[in-house]
Amino acid sequence: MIDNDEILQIFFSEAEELLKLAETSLMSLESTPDSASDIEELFRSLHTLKSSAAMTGFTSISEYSHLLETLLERLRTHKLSVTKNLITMMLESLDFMKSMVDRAVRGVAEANSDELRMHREQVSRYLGLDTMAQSPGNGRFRLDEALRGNP
Amino acid sequence: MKKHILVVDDSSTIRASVCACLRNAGYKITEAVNGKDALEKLRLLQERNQALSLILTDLNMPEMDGITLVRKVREGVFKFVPILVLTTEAHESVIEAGISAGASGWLQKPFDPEQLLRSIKKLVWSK
Repeated sequence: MIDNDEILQIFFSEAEELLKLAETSLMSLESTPDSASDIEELFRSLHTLKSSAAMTGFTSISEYSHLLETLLERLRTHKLSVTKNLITMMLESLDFMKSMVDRAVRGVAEANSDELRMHREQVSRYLGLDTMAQSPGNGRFRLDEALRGNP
Repeated sequence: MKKHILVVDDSSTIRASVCACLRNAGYKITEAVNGKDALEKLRLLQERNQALSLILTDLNMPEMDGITLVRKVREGVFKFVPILVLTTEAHESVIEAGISAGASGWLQKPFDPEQLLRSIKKLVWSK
């Protein structure tokens, strides 16, 4: 009979594999920014990680995956564009998720609250700004420029 | 005779959790990793003339999603088998898509073993 410890081990190895897959999709998206299949693969990896983490009680990993999933949904529906800054932010996000999984493996809290807040805010800035993409006149809004404060 | 349940989810963690809970409750389990794999497992069950009491399926899966699986099951020899959809999203549109495709009920992830067994018992004749 499989016990809770075995389920946790299954989760840890699945999480590691999903984050590797997500990183591969993200690197591929960087070279082909319009690739719907890369966005789809990335979305699927994070969606599965969200469910698996929620099932095993790792709520920070699950909630953060959900936030990234929301961002990918905006890419999927062309409300946001893939930019170099967005890719960099996503790579940092995946590194942060890896660190959360590592901590979970060691049996400590997934993240400290300050770090989690900082990373959540970083993603939320992209999510909050997307309404400006509808600004008339100058085509698609460049989030990376807006975040740098450039015109 | 143990009731037989097909568990379909691309998450190995969720398959392991669900299968552990169901085996513990006395059910016989077959696992599938996506809709396509599930259809193959159903084909094998049909070949061996084995009965099936319930299908538990995730929605968002690679190769073939849960909605397509539900539709295909409703067109095949296992069309009268109840299907319980396991979903992370509880949006009305998602649930409605599952139900209109032919699902018998839904359960939002994450769930605890008691919730899962209660939902199953509503759909499967008592042992």
